[in-house]
Amino acid sequence: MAAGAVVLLIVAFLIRESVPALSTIGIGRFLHDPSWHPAGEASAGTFNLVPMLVGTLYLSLGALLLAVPAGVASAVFCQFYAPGRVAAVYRRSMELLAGVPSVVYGFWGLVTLVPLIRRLEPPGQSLLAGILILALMVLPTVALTAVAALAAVPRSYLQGAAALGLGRWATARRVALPAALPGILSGALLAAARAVGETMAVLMVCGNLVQVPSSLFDPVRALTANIALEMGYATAQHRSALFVSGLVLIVVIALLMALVERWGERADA
Amino acid sequence: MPEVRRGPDRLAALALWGIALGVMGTLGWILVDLLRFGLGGVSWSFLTEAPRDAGRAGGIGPILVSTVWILAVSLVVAVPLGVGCAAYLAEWAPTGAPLGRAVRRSLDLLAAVPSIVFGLFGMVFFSQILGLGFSILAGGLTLACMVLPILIRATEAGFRSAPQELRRGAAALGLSRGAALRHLLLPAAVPGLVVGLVLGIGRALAETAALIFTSGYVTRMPSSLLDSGRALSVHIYDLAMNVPGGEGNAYATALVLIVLLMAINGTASWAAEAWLGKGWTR
Amino acid sequence: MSPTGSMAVMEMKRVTPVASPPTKVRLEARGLTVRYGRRPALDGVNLAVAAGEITALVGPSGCGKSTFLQSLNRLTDLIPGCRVEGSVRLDGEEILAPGCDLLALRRRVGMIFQRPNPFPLSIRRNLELPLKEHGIRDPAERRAILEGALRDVGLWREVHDRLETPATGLSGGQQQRLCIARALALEPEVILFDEPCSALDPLASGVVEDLIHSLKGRFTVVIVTHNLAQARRIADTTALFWVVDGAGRLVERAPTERFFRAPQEALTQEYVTGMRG
Repeated sequence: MAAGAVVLLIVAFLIRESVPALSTIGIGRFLHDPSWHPAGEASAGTFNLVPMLVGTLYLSLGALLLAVPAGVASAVFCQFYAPGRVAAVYRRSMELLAGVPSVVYGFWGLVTLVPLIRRLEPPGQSLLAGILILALMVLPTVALTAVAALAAVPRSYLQGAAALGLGRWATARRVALPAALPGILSGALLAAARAVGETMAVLMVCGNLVQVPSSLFDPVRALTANIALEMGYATAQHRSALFVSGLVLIVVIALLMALVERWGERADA
Repeated sequence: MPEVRRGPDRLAALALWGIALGVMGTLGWILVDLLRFGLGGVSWSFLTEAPRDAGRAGGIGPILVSTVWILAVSLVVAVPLGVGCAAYLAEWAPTGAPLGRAVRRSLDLLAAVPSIVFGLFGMVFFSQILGLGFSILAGGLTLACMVLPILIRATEAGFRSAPQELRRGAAALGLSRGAALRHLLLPAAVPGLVVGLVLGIGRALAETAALIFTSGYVTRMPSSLLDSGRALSVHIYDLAMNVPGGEGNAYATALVLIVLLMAINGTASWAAEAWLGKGWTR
Repeated sequence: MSPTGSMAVMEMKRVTPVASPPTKVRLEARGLTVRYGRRPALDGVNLAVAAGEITALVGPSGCGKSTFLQSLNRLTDLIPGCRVEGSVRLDGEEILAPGCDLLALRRRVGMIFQRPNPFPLSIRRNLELPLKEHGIRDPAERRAILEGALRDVGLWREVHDRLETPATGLSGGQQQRLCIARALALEPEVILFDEPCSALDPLASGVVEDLIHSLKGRFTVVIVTHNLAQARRIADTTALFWVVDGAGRLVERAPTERFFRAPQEALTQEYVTGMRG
């Protein structure tokens, strides 16, 4: 009743706050301005969001590229290769790690991963660090949904494969994985949503330079980190611009989650 | 499952075991680091004293208190709203009523909002427009917004788990909707509510970015809800990023946070099992 | 007169006559039509239920008996997409009118379901909750009503020492009797039973049936049953529902003896002799 109204209120507010930026600045400028200096001289700030958009994109894609295969492999391991006790322990650990706060991951990344990368090539805080940490964070999500999807594969499929003399790997690869694909895909999409929306970990390990990265070792700034870094002192138009970037994030994540719903329905059909 | 026989099988098995161990290893690395560097710092005095020297020394006493207060505020606000909304969705608007559909869509949307955007919203709405400034109240209210979708979804599932014959029986006896809700349906929804609470608290405790700008950075013991207060997660962030030499206490604080989360999860699992046995309430 | 005709007349003379003074009509349905979406589940039913009698509704599954029953206490309101047209009067008052007080209606017209549905509460709370909600504030009064209702259904001896235990711990037959007690506690005028024995074992079934039979005179009972023998045993009036032209209709209604021995409709004859349904 009233609760529903509150929910609607929040959404409406978010939209309303972005309108000023959208109307005064215009979407084109978010993509084509020379740079991002919203607090720039007088009222002539520039609002190019592209470096941050690219940053978020690279970070998420990179994380997914690592986490999805590793997560699916972990799931296959858990369901088909691990002896019972080991599988249970593995699953429990995944569940535990899925609950670890992002700030802890970011902290660990900062004190352990970054120095290691720095030894390879300074400064250490980089796109690579971000990708690695994000991959670690979303891996439990991918793995747990993949495990559930694999567990839901009907026994009859597996029995049929065994009866045909298919080995473990062949069964897993050619029978179980295809059958579990919708579920695995949802897991990957959820992981993507989480990666895109992640703030603290990327804030802590990515260096936060506003630039389009040209190598893995370049520092980079994600869209989320951008909001976090600047909201403290942003005024009027600047803040409005931040709200716009917030809206972009919401749209992307909402899209990903809508895809999850659709794939989920396919799985039940 | 047939035994591993041929080459490709053997290779696959090796690769999978390797990946699994690699993953476990990395994640284990994190946990081991936490224990190694953090355990030493955790002690009774750590848990009760105030931080000194920008947090390098001393403890996290006031910070724990602030965290609890922020959590309390968010729950006090989110639980009634969440249960009310869930009851509405489950009992009054299950099939396609327009308001129900609008609420559900908004909830889905809300669940897609990243935490930093909540922080932005909270800062502008609660801290500035409502004039709460940097305060536990502002932080708690912002967290309430974040936790609401989770609570509602889980509690609604709880309501739906009540069999339809319960509602028909109550109606046939001339019990009003409200009476049926209070005495019969609410108790049935409690397990769902508990699940929602656990998930919500987990999210709330893990939240950092949103809190930095709403409940603030202050490390003093808060004396009222309008005081600024630092949450555990914010403390870890501060020690990690802004305080050189603060890693030791950051590890210790992180350990405390994780233990807290595990304790909450554990209590909820235990409570859920205790409830599952009984099919009835007083 | 044809041979069958004279036989019929002689049969009728032997049959126990229906109560001679005009019996008061407690419930009356006129032109009752119930639709789920487009499809009419019931079409144009006219049925009068006499006060203090037991009226049985029989017929094969799916011909609208339960739907008819549910429209008598407007439980049809709970079914999404269900529309009720026509008239149903309780003691002359139209219950399908928009301003009708549903909570009061359902106190006067109680319902027992096929599967016993006690609340997941203690036995005591099962009985006291409806009493409290209907305004009985005095705990002593509630306890008295509770004991009276449990005695009425023959449960008092069995459960008086464990009123705080969960109702779901009782056997099926006991649970159903508890549900009946729960309805009786509200002192209704009419009690509706929707196949109350079909989910019970034969022994429990017999106990519940005897209980229903004992309610005659004090209450008006309408019972849906697909057990013809049961209808014959306990009902004063029996009515046959059947699907005719795609909708459930009332085919025949008669005093029980005549319904079974000398039905007017061919359909009834075939149903009663087991040749149909």
